[in-house]
Parts: sequence; C-alpha cells; structure tokens
Amino acid sequence: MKVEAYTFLSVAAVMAILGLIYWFTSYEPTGTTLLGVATVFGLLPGIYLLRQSRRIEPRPEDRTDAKGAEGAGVVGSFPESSVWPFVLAGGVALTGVGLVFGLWASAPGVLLLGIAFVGASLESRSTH
Amino acid sequence: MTTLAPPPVTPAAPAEPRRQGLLDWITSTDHKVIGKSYIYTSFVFFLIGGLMAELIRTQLSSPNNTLLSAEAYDQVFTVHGTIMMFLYATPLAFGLGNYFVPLMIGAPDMSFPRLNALSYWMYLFGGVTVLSGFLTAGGAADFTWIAYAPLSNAVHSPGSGADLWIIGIGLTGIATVLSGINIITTIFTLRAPGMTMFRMPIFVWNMLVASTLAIMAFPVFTSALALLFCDRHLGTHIFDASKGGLPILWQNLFWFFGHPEVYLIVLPFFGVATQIFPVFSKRPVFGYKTLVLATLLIGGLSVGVWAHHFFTYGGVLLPYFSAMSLLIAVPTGIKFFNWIGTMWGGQLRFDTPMLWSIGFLVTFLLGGMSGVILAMPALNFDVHDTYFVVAHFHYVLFASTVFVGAAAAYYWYPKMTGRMLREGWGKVHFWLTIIGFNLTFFPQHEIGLRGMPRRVATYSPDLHVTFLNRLSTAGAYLLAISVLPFFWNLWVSWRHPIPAGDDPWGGHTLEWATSSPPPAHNFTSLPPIRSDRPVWDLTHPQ
Repeated sequence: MKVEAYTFLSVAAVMAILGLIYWFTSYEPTGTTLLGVATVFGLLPGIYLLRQSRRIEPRPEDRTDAKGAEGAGVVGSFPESSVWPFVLAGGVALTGVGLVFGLWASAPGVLLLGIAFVGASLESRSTH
Repeated sequence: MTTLAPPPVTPAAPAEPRRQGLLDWITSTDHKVIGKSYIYTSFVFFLIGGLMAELIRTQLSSPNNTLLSAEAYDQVFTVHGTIMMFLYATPLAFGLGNYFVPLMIGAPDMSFPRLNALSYWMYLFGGVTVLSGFLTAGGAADFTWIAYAPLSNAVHSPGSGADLWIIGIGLTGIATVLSGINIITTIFTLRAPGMTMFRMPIFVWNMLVASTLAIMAFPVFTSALALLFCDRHLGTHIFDASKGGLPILWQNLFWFFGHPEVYLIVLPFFGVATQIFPVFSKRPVFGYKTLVLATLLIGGLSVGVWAHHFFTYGGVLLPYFSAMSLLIAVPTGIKFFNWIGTMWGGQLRFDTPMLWSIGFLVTFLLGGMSGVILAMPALNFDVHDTYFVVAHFHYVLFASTVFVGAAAAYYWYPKMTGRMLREGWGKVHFWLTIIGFNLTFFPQHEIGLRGMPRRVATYSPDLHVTFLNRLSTAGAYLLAISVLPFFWNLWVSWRHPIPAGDDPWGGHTLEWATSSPPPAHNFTSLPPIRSDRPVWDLTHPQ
C-alpha cells in the first residue's frame, strides 16, 4: 500500500510547491487558497494510506511474488442489482430542477429522495 | 478475485435465460452494464453535439448568413461546447474506465457498485436537464460553456434555460466526482494478487490520475455553480462588480477546474493509446515508469496553469502561467517519445485500432504545437479569442476523444460484445474522419490569424475568410458523413456476427484473459501476474 500512499503524498507535494511559488510571485489570494486546499486534499488520503501501510502486512496485490491462491476467499459482497441508485438520482435531479422554478417545485424531488434513502438503507441492512 | 467453486456436474435446473429488459438495465449495478451505458449515452450526446456543430458550420458557410439568429447561434454553440466537454468526453472516458479498470486489474466489480449506478443516472439526468433548456421560453443557456460573469448573471442571462444548465452541469459534476472516488478505491483495494501498482496497465494509471484530478477540480466548479445560482436567485452579489463582488473570481474558479478538466479528459485516452501501441507492435511498452511519471507530472502541472485561459485580462501573473504551461509540453513530449519508442523496431500491424491511434498521434502533435504557441503571452495576445484558439483545442480534444475514442471502440468492441467489427469499414471510417477533420479545422488557424473572432454568428466579407470558412464547412459535412460507415459497421457486425474469441488482437493485459463478453464478476480464473502484461506471458512461455 506504500505506492498508493506516495501517489497521494506526491500530489500534496506538487500542490504545496506550486502554491508557494504562486503566492510569493503573485500574492493573489484565490489561486493560493485553491492550491492550499489541493495540498490538504493530497495529504489526507496520503497520510491515512501511509499509516495503514505501516500497520498491515503487504497485501497479496502489493507483493510481486504473490500467487493467485493467496487472493482466494470472499473479496466483498457485490449487489446483483438495485433500483435505489436510479430512484436516488431521480430524486436529486428533480430537487435540482425544482429549485429553478421555486422551492415548492422541489417537493416531489425531496419526497423521492426520502423514499430512496429509506429504500437504500433497508436494502443495505438486509444484504449485510 | 471471487471465490471459485468447481462447476456442478448436473445442474439442478436449466439455467434461466438472463433477462435483458428495461428493468434489468435500470437496476443493474454490474460495472460492465454501467460502463456500456456510459459509453452508449455519451455517443448519443456526441451525435446531438455533432448536429449542433453542423448547424454552426452551416451558419458560417457564407458571410452575413441569416440561417440562425444571433440568439439561436449563441445557444447552439454554448450547448455544443457543454455537451462535448461534460456529456461526451468526460463520461466516455469514465465509461471506458468503468468497464475496463476492474477487468485490467483482475477485479470482480467496482468497489462501490451502487454508487457507480448512482453516478451514471445522475450523469444521464443532468445531461437531459441541460438539453431541456431548449424547451423553455427563453431557450437554452447562451453564455458559452465557460459561463463568464457578469454575462451569466440574472440581468444578462435571464430565463430558466440558464438555470437548468447550472443544475444539469452540477449533477454531472457530482457524478464525475463519485465515479472518481469509485475508480480510485477500486484500483487501491481490488487488485488481483501479484498486480502491484507498477504492474498495472498504463490505462489504469491514467484513470487513477484522471480520477484524482476529477476529485480536485470538480468540487471547485460545483461550488462556483452554487455561488452563481445564489447570485441569480438569492440576491447575493458574489460575482457582481457593481455591488463589490468579483467577476474575476468566477474566471479563477472556473479555470482552476477547467484546465484540469481538459487533462482529465485527455489522460484516459492517452492511456487507451498506450494499451494499443504495444499490442499492434508486438513489443512491451517502452519506458513504463517514465510513462507513469509523465502522467503524474501532467496531472500535477495541469492544476497550476489555469490563468493561461485569460492572459489578456491584465491582472494575471504572466511569467508564472506561461512557464507552467510550457512545462507541460515536457511530460507530453516524453509520452510521444515512449509511444514512438514502443513502435520502433516492432512488428507493426495496421489494424483499425492502430490506425486510429497513429491518427491521434499526428493530430494531437499539431494541437500540442499550437498549444505551445498559445502558452506564450506575446503570441497569445494576438490570437486570443480568435478561431486560432478554436482550431487549437479541437486538434487537442478531437484527437484524443474522437480518434482514440474510435480506436477504443474498434479495439474493445470485440471484448464488450463478442463480435468483431469489419476492418474494411473501419478503415473507410478512419480515412473519412482524418480528412474531414483536417479540412474542418486546419483552415481555422488561418481564419483566426486573419482576425475572425470566435463565438460570433456572422462575419463580414471584407475579412477575406469566406473561402476558408467554406472549406471548413465542407470538412464538417465530410465529418458528418464519416459516422455513417461506423453505423453500417455496427449494423453488419450485429446482423452477421463474426465471433471474436477471447483474445482477437493478441492482447497483453488481463481483460483478454476472460471470455468475450466477460461473465458476471469477470473471471473464472486468472493467469499468474508476473509482469505488466500477464496475458502475453501466458501465451508466450519462455
């Protein structure tokens, strides 16, 4: 998992370097803020992954000599099908389109969102 | 890898034929179904956007033309740009990523299948929302795809078409971020044993960097859209100079997203080309690690160049942005050397995917050269907002999204459907496209140098660009015709299928180790992974 960590840390490093050069050459706040936030974006997953990589043994996918059998076992549960993503997306879209025409127009979308939240939560409880 | 059980000797009941109905499609969380939905939907949007391009070119075929009113012209080119960037190029890239990233790393599915489905539906609904603007009284959004303040405020762009544009693009933006998270997690957690990061196909690396860019760039844009929506509806004055707001803030926010967006579109297609060159040269990819490094560098630098889109604004730190923009040419050049190095001394086969990839190489190089010109402020000031810029970005974006998009279609269609496409029609498609494309966009360099501004519905005959514009329009019509052989090809392959087999091209990467089309959860067994091209190792034992 080290390479994964260093990938994100390199993002942070590049953003920090760009941000520093940018600030000390332009003193322009918008871009500097954005580059600063981008640095944090690289740091957060980078540090998390680095800590994880120190805590666990290298996984079979991190070792060049791993055999196929080492990956045997349940990888995870993958749902065959679910209607809730469709309903949820419909709810988000209807809510958004409703906002264009006035708050009241969002009501059907919000209702659909609510149904989707309940449906999706119940589904994940029953499958796990 | 999924757990494998020995196949049952006597099945208890005859297997039910798999349903392929509408409900099946709506509820599917299989990354292959979603990937295909992405690819087909983006192609439909491409055709709609292409029709709009034909309208634009028809309007410009003679000076002072009145085919389209100025308002209609503004709407058509705005939605053309919006469709091609947000509803064609980005989703096509992520659709290919959706379908092939899990296959290439030996995973059974994406990490979050339901989130994946959510992304697709939000993209589709967002796209329909943008297009629905044409049905409103005031028409669709007409403030260009970059929606500069103050043009995009409630005074200059009243009407719900503009609002629907904001909401629709916001939806697709969120969808792209969710897809990006999903792809990164899949790459980090679902690789097969032995598939280390430095054995992943370059396409997977490029999807990783593109997804990272998506997570970095899109939230900035979505927030900017939310601010714009507040300005239009809730009485804030964030981008309103007359009330102490900052219009330039929009430009900064937009292009801080907009430039990484260009690279998050281009990088996946670079990745596809990097898969195709080695297979059709019968060589391993030349300089694997430098390609990875170049991809990371392009991704990193692309975040630092945003203001080169508005050099002429006056308040921009020219040396910084010019230097950064010129620097991007270095990693891109490294990639070109690697692609040529891969082909050098190989046994080249000019099948359709290879032909399209080489077409991309040549075309993108021209676009890159004009990019270097535009990166220099002294030259940029002269051609800013002229057709020279239009020519430049069509060379770059058309080369990657359409040429490599077509290469991907011919390369992976057999894997996705189990049927081959006809080589002959593929070559007709290619030659019509490359001739039509250059006829359309090469004259636009000169049109720009003669001073014709972009985004203007008419031009005067005194500008001496009429002939060049007609050439360009003729090319656009040829481009429209060039899609027909592709349709014919799809039809023929559907009616008279030639079975593809598992590995029709002699591929190197894991997607060729499973059946065509792959079964649910992708693999029944995986070959040992000992290099970045496990299938080649399997078929060429030492």
